[in-house]
Amino acid sequence: MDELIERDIQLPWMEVLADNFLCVDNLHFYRAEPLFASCPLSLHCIGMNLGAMEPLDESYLQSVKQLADRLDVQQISDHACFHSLEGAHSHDLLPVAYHPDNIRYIAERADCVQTFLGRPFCVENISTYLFHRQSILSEGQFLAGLAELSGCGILLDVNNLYVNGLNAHNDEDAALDYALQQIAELKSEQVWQIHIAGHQRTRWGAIDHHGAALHKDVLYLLAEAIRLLGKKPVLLEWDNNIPPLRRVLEELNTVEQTLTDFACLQGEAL
Amino acid sequence: MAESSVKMFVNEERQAQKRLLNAIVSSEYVHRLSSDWCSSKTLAPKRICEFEARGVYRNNYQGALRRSLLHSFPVASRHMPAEAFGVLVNEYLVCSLGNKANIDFFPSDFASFVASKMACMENSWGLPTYLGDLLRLEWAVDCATRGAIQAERRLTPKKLQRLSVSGGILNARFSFNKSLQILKLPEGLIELWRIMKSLSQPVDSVLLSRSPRQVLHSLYPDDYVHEGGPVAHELEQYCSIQIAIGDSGKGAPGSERLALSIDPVHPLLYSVLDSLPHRFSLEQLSVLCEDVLTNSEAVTDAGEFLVSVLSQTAEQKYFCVDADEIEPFRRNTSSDR
Repeated sequence: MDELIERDIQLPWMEVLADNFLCVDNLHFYRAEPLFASCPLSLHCIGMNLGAMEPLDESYLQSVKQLADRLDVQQISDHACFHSLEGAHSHDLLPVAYHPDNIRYIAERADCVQTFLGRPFCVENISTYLFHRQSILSEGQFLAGLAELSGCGILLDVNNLYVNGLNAHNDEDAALDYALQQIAELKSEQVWQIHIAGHQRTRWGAIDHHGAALHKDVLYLLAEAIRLLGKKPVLLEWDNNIPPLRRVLEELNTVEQTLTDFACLQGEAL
Repeated sequence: MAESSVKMFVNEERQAQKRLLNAIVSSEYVHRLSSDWCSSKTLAPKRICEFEARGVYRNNYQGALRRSLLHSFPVASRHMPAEAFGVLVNEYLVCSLGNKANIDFFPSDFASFVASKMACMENSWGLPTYLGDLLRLEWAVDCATRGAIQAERRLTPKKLQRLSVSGGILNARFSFNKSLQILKLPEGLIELWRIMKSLSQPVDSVLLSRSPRQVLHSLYPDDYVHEGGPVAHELEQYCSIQIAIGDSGKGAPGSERLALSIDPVHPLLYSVLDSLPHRFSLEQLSVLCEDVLTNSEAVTDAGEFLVSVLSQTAEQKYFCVDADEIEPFRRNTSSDR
């Protein structure tokens, strides 16, 4: 962060993790404020607990709203998941059932959030290592249903789709097929942003650790998603094992180059 | 119909969520997941099993809590045997799992937890008796960095002038708590001094001095560590600073000086200073002075004091003092030893 400020690097847009800045009058916030002023912002949250079977936390939402107003962000997002219930906190993003009743339940809450915040709100798909036995819809059907019923957008994390595919099939080709099937369920107007990140392959699947370079399949999925859904704002997440800024910027260039190459190929094919 | 269906779903789902959370955050290892959850519905070979899936979530959970502790106590964790820190963290995790909504506040009881363990830990690990104080201090830094601050309590040059001419502060001695050290006094006071110089009725000296007793202690830090006497009391003395703001030698060449003497501080506390990510501002120092002037010697607990001061201070901009300006003071304090 300091290097970004010092070198005055201009980014097209940036995502702020709201939970790190819920107090807007502390040293931590003031230190980052010059960076916040340098480009358009989107606010990303991990604490709304949209899928939890308990009431929404109004004080948390109030803090998010205060931060969103202070930064004048263009969009706000959180995940289709739960993290805590009745005072027990996992500090993680836990899966929900892909079920029509859950679409109704979460869509109502997402709509409340969007109304309260007064800004466009989108819901992100998570990576998961467990699956709910009550799930009778695919991940893509669930996300599409949520967007349709709530009027909110989808923040599509293609790496999460791929990781979920690996954790279901433990095979890269099958994971790619899984992710493409989910993307095919979505309509262009429903997807507002795309996330990409690195993951760690394991002997049984993958861990979504946001601590490595992008896998080639994730880059391919990104290109495919843009081909199917149209051009969307894309965000590279790198939260662990963070390399020097130079390396992160190189990775961004790789993404841009991949998309350019892919667009050229499409043009030639057409 | 749809409403009652959702209601039924919610009730069942609530139980499923509770069971999964329990399997992740419970200090007791839950050997089997409830039947609500499965690893994968596919029959792919070597795919993730329930045992591994639960392990990923439990590792993520406990890893996040450990990182939170390391982030909050960088100095203490570096200055004690890794095994000892690991043992303390493990025990704290077992006692505290799942009970903090905001992970940032997970470490809040760690200092008192460690202090309560010191009696049985210090012999086996050779831990310093002041470890509890150090942890409290570091937690205070963490809180001060993240805590909300209020703008109305700034000490302006005008306020400072009023203080300086009141007479009551000339040669006043204030016993500062050790937590004060983290305010990076050298930088703060340089700015304070500059402002004072620009006042219409300047007070040309900001003097911090220490007592001979403190000098003695700074020469024999090991005495403190191994002292069997009233350690807490000694620590207070050891780290206290006396500050005097006055106009002695006004107008005389070279009389405008800033004398700093903050070295009767244990090397561990210097490490805290060095580890700070921020420089603290004039405003913070000023409010601190005001607080001390107002409340005389009413300083007790390091952490509470620091939080009470810093959480009420304002910080709109950051100033940096050139290393050239800081270095002489560091050299001075070193040569005092």
